[in-house]
Amino acid sequence: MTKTRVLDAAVVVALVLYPLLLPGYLDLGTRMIVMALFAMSLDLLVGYCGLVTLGHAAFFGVGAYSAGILAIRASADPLTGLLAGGVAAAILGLLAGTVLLRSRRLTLIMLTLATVLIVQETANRMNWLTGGADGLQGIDMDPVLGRFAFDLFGRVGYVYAAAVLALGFLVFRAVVDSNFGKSLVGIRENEPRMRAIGAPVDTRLRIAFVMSAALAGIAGALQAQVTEFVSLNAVSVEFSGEILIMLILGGAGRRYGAFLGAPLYVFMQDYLAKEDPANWYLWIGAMLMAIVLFAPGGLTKWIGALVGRATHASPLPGRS
Amino acid sequence: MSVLDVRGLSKNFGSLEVTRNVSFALEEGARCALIGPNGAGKTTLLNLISGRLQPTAGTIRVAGRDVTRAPEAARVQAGLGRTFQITSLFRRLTVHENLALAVREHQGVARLLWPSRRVRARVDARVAGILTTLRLEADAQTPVEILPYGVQRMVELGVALALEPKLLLLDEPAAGVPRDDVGIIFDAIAQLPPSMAVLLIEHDIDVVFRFASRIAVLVAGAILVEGTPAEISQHAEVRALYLGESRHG
Repeated sequence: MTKTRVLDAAVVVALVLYPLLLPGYLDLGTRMIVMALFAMSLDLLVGYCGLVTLGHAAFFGVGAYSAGILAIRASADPLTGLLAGGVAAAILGLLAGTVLLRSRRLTLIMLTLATVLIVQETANRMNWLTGGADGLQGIDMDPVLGRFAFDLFGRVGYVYAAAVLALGFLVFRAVVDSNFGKSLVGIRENEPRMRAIGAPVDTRLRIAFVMSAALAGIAGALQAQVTEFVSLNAVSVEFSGEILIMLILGGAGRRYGAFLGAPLYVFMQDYLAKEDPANWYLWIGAMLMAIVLFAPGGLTKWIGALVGRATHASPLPGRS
Repeated sequence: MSVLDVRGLSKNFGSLEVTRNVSFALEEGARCALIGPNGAGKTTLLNLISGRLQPTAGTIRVAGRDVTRAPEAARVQAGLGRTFQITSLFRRLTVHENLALAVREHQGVARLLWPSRRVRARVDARVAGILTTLRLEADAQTPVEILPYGVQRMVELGVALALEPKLLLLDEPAAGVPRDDVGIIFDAIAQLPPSMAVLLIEHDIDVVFRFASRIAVLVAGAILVEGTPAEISQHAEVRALYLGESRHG
């Protein structure tokens, strides 16, 4: 309990220190925060339910478009936009989940891939609404809570995103620590046995899927609001893959994996794109390979093992 | 009312008949053993009763409820619990968490997002009770995968007991356990609540005769004979088919 409290505090400290130490890179920090929130939503499926998906950007994108379109056509209030993004993604999650969750493993991955392609093509075709390939432009957000207007330096954007991430993390933490979250872990570890002890596995997974989609939609809405732009890339297969890589880097099903993986990936992407724009994807690939080979389970697991080795003789509790 | 009532149960895989017109009933507190040579269809019969497989024909009633087409979860709610021949646990989780998962399902609190302190205490108390009964306290916080197989079999039994079933199906509970540890498992089975009906698949004939008040012999998917241990041991065909085989094997 105390260990998780220290780590929770570390997350808050990092969020507070970043703008003080790197005031010139607030846009980058905001992007890290949005990606961390998105990766966290994916973690609920990949890490806790054991369902691998290559289509999670469908929910992020639907959240982003919903918030963006709402801001242009009806209400530019940020919180209303977040809510709209979350609800729209949850509805899509309910529909998609009902169909997708009949499958597992490779079939599921293929179907999630198909889902994101369908959503992307729909967004592309409806260019009168979404801007199509040009992207959704002309978003102009109202001040947050009617008081804090988004500024050119991204200060309000950063604080707003950090607050949403903190709230998102509180919800995520409550879910994974709850009885419901533990039963998801049971399903991940041994689905047939969960059925044999009477768990309504399909209903549980469907609820988790909707929760995950809603959180992804909120992350999407947040991105649309702070960048005031939505591109078709937000609903792409590539982006779905990227977010999965971020999660694997940090460690899936490990509570802080999204917090480590997403910022690291975003930083590397930004740094390498400047230093070696022709080959930056190669370096990202090399980094991923290094993680898979030398730190399977992600950075959080690797760091946890290092700390464990330093403080205890054995990382596994001994039998008496 | 029977705790388990199976009528005319059949299962075909294509043209292969693995269960053929099986009928039997178990009363409250029954201690019944299912024996038969390898490939006789014993585990298939258990899978049909627990809902892992769907029968081709016949009906299954658990505590009076027709569950023939019901999913596994509904059968558990009707009072059925089972163990698996090959241990099927949450291997990376601790013994405590393995039991707690089953207890939460049984107490109907597994879906809660904000379980109260009282709910959590009630789960922990029940888990502690099972740990004591099965003498697993020392291993409570150990991940199942690093436990000796004999202890894993005890956890397997514990997970089924956590559901407080009216009907318990035990599929070779001591399979793969070192000979020295077999006694502990059957001691635990001997101490099951008297009202619980138990259907046991077991190859060790000595264990079967000590445990069971009724024995059913399954051969090629059909019940060859059913009766008390004394009747079974006198049955010529059973002696030739099964008892003789086991004595020399």
